[in-house]
Amino acid sequence: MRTKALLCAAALAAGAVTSMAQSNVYSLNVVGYINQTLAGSSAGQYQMIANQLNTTNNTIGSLIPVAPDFTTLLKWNGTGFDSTTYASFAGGWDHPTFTLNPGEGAFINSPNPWTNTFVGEVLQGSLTNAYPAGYSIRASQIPLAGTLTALQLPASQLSDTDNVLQWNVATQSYISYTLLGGTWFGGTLSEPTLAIGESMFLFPAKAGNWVQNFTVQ
Amino acid sequence: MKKLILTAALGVACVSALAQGSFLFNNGGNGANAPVFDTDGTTKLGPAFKADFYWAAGTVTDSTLLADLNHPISFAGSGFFLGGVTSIPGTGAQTITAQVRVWDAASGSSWAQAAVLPGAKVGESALFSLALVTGATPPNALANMTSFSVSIVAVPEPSTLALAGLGLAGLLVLRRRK
Repeated sequence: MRTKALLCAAALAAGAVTSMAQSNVYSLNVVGYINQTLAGSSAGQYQMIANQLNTTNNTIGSLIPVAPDFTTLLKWNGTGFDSTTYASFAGGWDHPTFTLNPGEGAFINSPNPWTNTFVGEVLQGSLTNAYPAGYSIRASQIPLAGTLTALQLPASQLSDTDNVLQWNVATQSYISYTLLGGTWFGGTLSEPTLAIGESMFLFPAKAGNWVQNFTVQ
Repeated sequence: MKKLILTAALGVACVSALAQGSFLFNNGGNGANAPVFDTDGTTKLGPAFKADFYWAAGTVTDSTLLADLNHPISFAGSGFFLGGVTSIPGTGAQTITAQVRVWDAASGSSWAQAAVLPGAKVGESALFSLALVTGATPPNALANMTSFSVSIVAVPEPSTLALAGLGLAGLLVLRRRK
């Protein structure tokens, strides 16, 4: 995935200073944007994406208000995909209330390359991303790139034979990683590594929580 | 360790095998670009028209062998329908022969109804191949479908009706003589 992400952690520090019980409580909201380049292809190329900036509703209609005609988003429902397609001649997305919350992911394909700007709040604190046993599309809830360990999903939290499927845009196929004895096998890297705005299929034997602790200093 | 890897791979394969074959019932996007036209060959169909999917396993060349998926959808506009991810029960990851049949919704709830209604507008695409996918594989749209136009179901001419009547009369005469 060629994600050229510019995370502008423009701290609009809304310092809401209040006085509660003789102490000062400060609220620091960090908003920013991510410019995500989507490969696109007249032949239809898929790409796995994630929304890593929280908005009030995280609906596709607000996250991606305008897209090239026939841009299609596929979201995993546990057994298969649900889809929504953008068509300007039909008024936009056919399912505009489709949601893509931070931590979730989806496939997208477009007839031509373009860039979408995701705008929203960087989530902070202790962030829990619950995942089920079996297939689900998951992503980091915060806009950071790195190995799963760096993104706070270490091998120690998963089990032997748990699987990660990472989509290769160039070959339009999965790179499969399997965990054995605390080591990832398969793929070209020693560990699955996600770019900003990228999601993956997680296939664990047991349900669990991917907890990320993140604070903007 | 090899056994474990094989077991994991087998598990993934089994999950995929249990799933139904699916595709994107869209004639635009993801490699598909086959708008459907009205009888004039230039006006693109809108929401007054419906499309349904017909299919058969493997490669067939006779459209009468195709089964109706019975999944009619309305056109979104500009000659395109956007039916989204659609599954075919009883299939897996395989290549099928497909055809899209369209009709004006006012002439019936199915293509089969409209196709025998004089004055109805109906049309069928050429047969095309489609690779169904299962499991985590993202589905294909109708990339091999080509554009086509609808036509009007002919009203039987009086002479045709007269010939049919004569034929019936002849049959009755033969039956009486026996």
